Amino acid sequence: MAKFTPPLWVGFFEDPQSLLESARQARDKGFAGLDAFTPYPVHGLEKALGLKHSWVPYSTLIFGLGGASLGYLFMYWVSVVDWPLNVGGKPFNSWPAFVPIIFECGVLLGGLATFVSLLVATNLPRWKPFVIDPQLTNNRFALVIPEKQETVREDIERFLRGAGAIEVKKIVA
Amino acid sequence: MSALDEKLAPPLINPQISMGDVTADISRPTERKPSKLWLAMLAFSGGALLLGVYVVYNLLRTGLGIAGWNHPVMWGVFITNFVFWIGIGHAGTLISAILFLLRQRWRTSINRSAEAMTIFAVICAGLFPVLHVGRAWLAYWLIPYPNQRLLWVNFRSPLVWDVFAVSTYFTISLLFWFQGLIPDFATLRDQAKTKLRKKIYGILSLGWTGSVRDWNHYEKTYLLFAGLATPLVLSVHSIVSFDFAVSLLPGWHSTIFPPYFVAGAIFSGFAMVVTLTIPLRKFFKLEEYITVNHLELMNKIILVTSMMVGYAYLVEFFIAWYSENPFERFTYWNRATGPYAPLFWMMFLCNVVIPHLFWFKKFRRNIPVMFLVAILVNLGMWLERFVIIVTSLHRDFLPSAWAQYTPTKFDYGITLGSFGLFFTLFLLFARFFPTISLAEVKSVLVNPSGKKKGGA
Amino acid sequence: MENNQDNGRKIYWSSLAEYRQDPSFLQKQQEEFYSKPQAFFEAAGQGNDFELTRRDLLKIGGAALVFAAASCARRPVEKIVPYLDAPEQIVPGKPTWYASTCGACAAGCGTLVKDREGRPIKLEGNPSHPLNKGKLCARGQAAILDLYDPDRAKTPFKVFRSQTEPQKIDWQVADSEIAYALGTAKGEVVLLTGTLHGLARQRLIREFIQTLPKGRQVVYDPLSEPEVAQAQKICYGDPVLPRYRFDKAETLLLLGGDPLGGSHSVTEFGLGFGFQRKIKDKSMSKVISFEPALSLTGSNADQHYLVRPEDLLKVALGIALQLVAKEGRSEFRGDTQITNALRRYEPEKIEPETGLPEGTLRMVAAELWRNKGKSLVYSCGLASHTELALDLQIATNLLNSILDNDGQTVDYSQSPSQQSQGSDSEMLSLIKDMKAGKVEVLMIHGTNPDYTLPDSAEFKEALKNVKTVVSFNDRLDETGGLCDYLLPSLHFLESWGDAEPQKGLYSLLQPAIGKLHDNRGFEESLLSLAGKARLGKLGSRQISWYDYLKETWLNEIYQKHRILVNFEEFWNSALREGVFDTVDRTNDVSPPRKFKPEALKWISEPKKIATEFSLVLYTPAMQYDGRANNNSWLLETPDPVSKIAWDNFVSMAPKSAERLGLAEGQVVNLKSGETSSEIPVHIQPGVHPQVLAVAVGWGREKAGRVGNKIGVNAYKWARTNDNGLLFSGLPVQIEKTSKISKLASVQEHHNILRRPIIYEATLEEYRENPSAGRVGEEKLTSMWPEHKYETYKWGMAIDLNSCIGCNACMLACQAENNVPIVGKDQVLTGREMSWIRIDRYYSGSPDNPEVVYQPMLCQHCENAPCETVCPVVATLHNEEGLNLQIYNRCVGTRYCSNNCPYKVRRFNWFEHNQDLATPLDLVLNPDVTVREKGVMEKCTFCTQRIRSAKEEAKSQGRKVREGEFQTACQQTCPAEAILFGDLNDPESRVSRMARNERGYHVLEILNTRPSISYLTKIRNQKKAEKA
Repeated sequence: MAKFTPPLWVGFFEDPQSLLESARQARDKGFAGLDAFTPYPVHGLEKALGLKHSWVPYSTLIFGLGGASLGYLFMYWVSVVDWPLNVGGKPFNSWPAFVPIIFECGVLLGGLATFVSLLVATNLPRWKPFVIDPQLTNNRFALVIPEKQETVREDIERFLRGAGAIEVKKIVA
Repeated sequence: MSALDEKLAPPLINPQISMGDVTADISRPTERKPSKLWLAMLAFSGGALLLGVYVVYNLLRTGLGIAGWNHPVMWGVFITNFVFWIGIGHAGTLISAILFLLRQRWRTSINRSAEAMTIFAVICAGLFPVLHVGRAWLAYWLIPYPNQRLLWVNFRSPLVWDVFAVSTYFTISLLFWFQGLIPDFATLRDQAKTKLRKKIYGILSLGWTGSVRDWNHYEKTYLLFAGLATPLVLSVHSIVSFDFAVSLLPGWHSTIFPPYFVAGAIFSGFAMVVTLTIPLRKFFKLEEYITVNHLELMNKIILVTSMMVGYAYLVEFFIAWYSENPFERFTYWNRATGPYAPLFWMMFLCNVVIPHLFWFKKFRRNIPVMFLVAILVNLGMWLERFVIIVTSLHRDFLPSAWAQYTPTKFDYGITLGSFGLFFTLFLLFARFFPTISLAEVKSVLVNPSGKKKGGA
Repeated sequence: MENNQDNGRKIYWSSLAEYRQDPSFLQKQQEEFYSKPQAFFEAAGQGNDFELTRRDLLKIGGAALVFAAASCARRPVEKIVPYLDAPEQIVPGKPTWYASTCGACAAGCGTLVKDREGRPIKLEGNPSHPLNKGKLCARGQAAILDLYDPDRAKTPFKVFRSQTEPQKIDWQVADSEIAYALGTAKGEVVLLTGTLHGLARQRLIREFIQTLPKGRQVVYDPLSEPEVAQAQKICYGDPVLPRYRFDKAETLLLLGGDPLGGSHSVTEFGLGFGFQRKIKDKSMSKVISFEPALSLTGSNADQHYLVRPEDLLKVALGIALQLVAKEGRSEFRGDTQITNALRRYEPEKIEPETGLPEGTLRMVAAELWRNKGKSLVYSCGLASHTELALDLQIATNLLNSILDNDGQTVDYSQSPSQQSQGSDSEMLSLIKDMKAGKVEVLMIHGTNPDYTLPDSAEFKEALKNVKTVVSFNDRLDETGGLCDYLLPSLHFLESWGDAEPQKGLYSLLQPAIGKLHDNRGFEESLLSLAGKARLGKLGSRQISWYDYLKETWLNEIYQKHRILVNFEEFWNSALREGVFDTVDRTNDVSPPRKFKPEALKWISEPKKIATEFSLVLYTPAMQYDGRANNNSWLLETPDPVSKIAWDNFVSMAPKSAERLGLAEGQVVNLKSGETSSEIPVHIQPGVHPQVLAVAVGWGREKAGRVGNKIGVNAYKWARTNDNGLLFSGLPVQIEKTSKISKLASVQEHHNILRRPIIYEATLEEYRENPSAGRVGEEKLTSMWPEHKYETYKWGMAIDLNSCIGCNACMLACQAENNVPIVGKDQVLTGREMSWIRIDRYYSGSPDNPEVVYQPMLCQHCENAPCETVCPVVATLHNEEGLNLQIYNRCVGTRYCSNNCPYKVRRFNWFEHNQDLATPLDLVLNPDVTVREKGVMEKCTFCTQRIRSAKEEAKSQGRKVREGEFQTACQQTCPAEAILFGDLNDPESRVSRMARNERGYHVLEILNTRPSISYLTKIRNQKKAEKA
């Protein structure tokens, strides 16, 4: 959730299409600091609001590979350097036997990293979430426009109504 | 709505249903007082759980001798249960991950409960390797942690692979499941009528608000988890199958095991999902969401995997004959005609023959029939593991060491106990968690706003 | 506060009780020990089960160790001399060896007793003893356990003939009461003993009974063979029990005899037998056996024929006729008495009668003739103890004479045996006298007639007419219960004594531990009774048994043989060696005696018995006559042939079982004469279809907590007739019942299914190709560079030809490695713990199969499958090629056992050693861990022995020498089938044996590369004979 400060204009919509539409218009008009709230991920909305791609996959990749290689190094160190034992006449570095664990280590670390990254990226958990309206997690959609706008001069309330919001309200502090 | 949904005809969910209805219907169980039926079932499964606890007490106190194991059959019902539960645990992740990647949007109604099932099944599974060990209080020695004895573990042993595989699988499934729950908890939080409930769900939701900026990362993460979980779910049962494939025992030492076990896992997993969702949708009035279409689709998967498993059975026998390896040949001959033949044929009936009912649409869509079939498949898959483990062990290389294996009442007790644990957890889940993914179901509604004019 | 101040001085108090000056506390304060160990011992002394927690056990066990180490009161007073080194005091952790003589039976094998901290923990054969040459049989190995048997009587008892509860009585009272009885005895005083030899012992008994007006000794063994001596008397003049030279017998004919399983000297015979079975310049002995039911020896025969016991005589005579008539020997052919006697036994006539294949007798005669002088005909044993036992012995003598074996393989003069002196007929006449009231005092030692005599002997009734009955047995056994007094004698490891198993071979017993209980040696008792009763010279002497023994050796050995060193030196060296041998072993042949033809008059026409089935009682290899049936080791060791433990049973042929519709374990009712009782059926291949065979030695009523009511007492089926007891060829009716009694068999499948487990070939094939029989082997290569073994590479070689399947190795391992006992129900579940087992496989027809024994133990594979799968590296390889099992690292996943193709790993399903009744815990070997519940265990190649040998070598800065130490199994193996050593040393015996063309690995195909090589089994047969 973007860090924006009241006063804010919130336009409520009943179905994703109209939200999507109005979001596009708002962006065309050049409103800045836009945000939208939906009960479920609405596809195309992030484009409509011009959000960047998530960076989470990169951390997954790095940590996944890191975990895998750490796993192998650890096993090598244990069974060749620190504790070389003749087990079943197998060579100390019996790497084929290490493959499964290498893989698991990769997935484990990758997975954990992914989840942590999610929390970081969305700076969850928030103890005092900024809930504009309880219905936004149920059956309503909302487009949020900060009142302070450098470029656009148009009246935000009228714009929202025009875009088909069933209700528009201003949040002050 | 989107083109994908058009493809799915008839629509998965009754077009009349709106987002509001979804929230209301699905969060209802969490807000009502528990029903008599629910309490009764909880009491029942809790009792079974207690029985299991009693067995464990005796096991640790008196020694493993109270169960049926002997020399040479040193693995029996316990490992059977382990493999069985791990198998059950596969459908969940499969549904949530693989079907997600395949854009099978019908998964939305069942993935939540399927994932829950996965996690509970893995918990049950995880107990058995620990309990079947001679000195369970030292089972943690299987984990490679630095200790003042300066000892490590043997990374060549499939059992150590299991430790990593199962724990990784559990962690990832749990995170995946929880991520799915976050937005729904937020919904419950916002709908909550009591303060306490608001507080609890508020914490669980991590303060989710549904901002599109969060959804953006959220969806990527979900995709990534799906991507990680898919190879993981395949690896886990492969590794479990290595416990057998890596040994040199005729009947275990076989390269077909990994794919065969994975197929079997999916098979049993889906059977279990069907077994669970049928009562679930009934008791919690979710027929609207988990429709016969969903069940039919799962039955199709059951049919396919059943044929895979059947193929594996046949190939095993063929290879045994083709290899001209006397030990291999004897083992399979003994499997089909020896003292455990009845179990083998029972298994064959349940896993290979009966699922062919699902070639017929009217059976695929007939609740009682599919419920029965699912139960039988579960039974069959349990027998499969038992047959593989016991028939291979009880007559291996030296005839002088051959012996029979008969489980004791303690073996059956612990098995019941694990079911008790599983259903107890599942009942609690069904009572307090959204059993269907709100956000995802809403995304497949034909007419989210519920207004007559709207929608595709 | 007043009692906290004692005239100003501070008083410190440790507990409130003390502070309050609690009376109970004050009383406790007076005692030396807060917790009283003696209280526990007293309770244990009552013989009543004393519930005992593991902690207590450990406490006491520990205490016992400490006391033992401090050697207080646990060591004998007289000077006893260790075997090799004579330390002033015990070196903790180092064993001390004492030479002694085994008392498990009358065979009198020399033993070395391994003492640790003053307590014997293991028996081994004494290598310098000519009888058993360092070997010991299964029973000898198990005898150590009897020493610590908690059910031994721990004090003398007044028994009241079980009218009322036996009462403890102290020695003084007992002695004076019995002495009074002796002194005032008008009637006979009879000393009823088992076979007792040894100069001092026999002298004592002689002098004792001489001092009495009407004293005599009666010797009775349940498994006696009086007919042998009798027949010798009839045929040659004097009644000797010959010493049978199996070590010289290249052709062996057995007529119902079982020298390896049930004879009076199994170790000696096994040694000789095994020696002849070894392949020496491409030849080996030929063993032909005629018997009613497969015995241990029979199962080792090259040719095995099944006949009814009554027919054994016919067979013997048929062969004799064949030899006399066809094979020449003028002096016999010329003799009309002989030819007339034999005329009726034409092979052509006998073979169909006895159901033998045509030409058998001719073949056998030819085989014997080929090796005349180097062959042996042997027919003693319970199975041949029919009505015509004497006749059979006479025929046997005839055969041995015809074959020039007399004086060669039948030693009658050099050093004849004294190992079996009992006589049924004397026993029966004694009973007559008792009934007639002639006997006033009866003193019983080392025999248990009430248990071993059939009811028809009416021993119980006879006993009623005897005024005073005294038992010297070590417990209140069946007979003891009917006595007036029980003066429990000592275990042979607690007592002084001597033995003379064979003439001129003198052997000593010395106590390796002080008396465990308030008991007294039999000889000691005789002396003190004599003293108390003021009996003649003996009574007046007040001499201790130790001095008496020494004196006897001084007069009867030292002086007779004019030994140069002074007596003390001689005595010490005799003790050190444990044996003094006066027999000339270099030239051990004596001239053949003249066979008296008139002896054949004794032979009467064998007659058929009334019933279809003929009952055969036989001697079980483990239980022998049942004397040691409170010995759990022996009870749990399976019978070598049937592989069934914890039970006896009636063996019958598969065909007959099928015909009678009987299943394994089905209970039947056997009725022979008046006696009938129920017993489970065991379907045993290799039993004559008209024979039912039952082992004696089971069904003890008062053996002890372990042995009571196990199996059925088969002695009761025996019959009495005027010249003794009949154990074989008894008419019997069999009735099926509906009951089923599970038999605890340790092996349920008996066919190797043409798997590469055992390779065998006939001698003929072997001569053509030394590696004959080894089919379908292929050279396998390793995927990885192999690990090198720089120092040693321990390995083993086992010769399947010599292994006779006698189980001695199993017991040796049990004693050495603290292998726990699990009991019948656990054996039934398949949880026996033995580290080494003898697999027994059949081949050929189930009616009369060929048998092969294979000792199976951890193979210590180089590519050990068990190691790879252990998650915690609890099992791994060390740099000497040993497959180690680390108990305290094992978590018990049991994956190793699953992955072991040889299934030699054992798992502790319970806390087995928790309920060891004291003092059984004293038998545990302190060098070997006692395993906890939940861990895996297996053969370690006796790693503790390897370690001590290495330490020894290290201290002398050298490598371990060839044969410097032996594994327990190798050490005791009478047939010397097992060889252990360093495979890195190309010259070591074991590597040479492993390189032998016959050497192979079990399941080589799996490329586990075992450290144990087996040598192909060769049967002395022609190709044609092999089915």
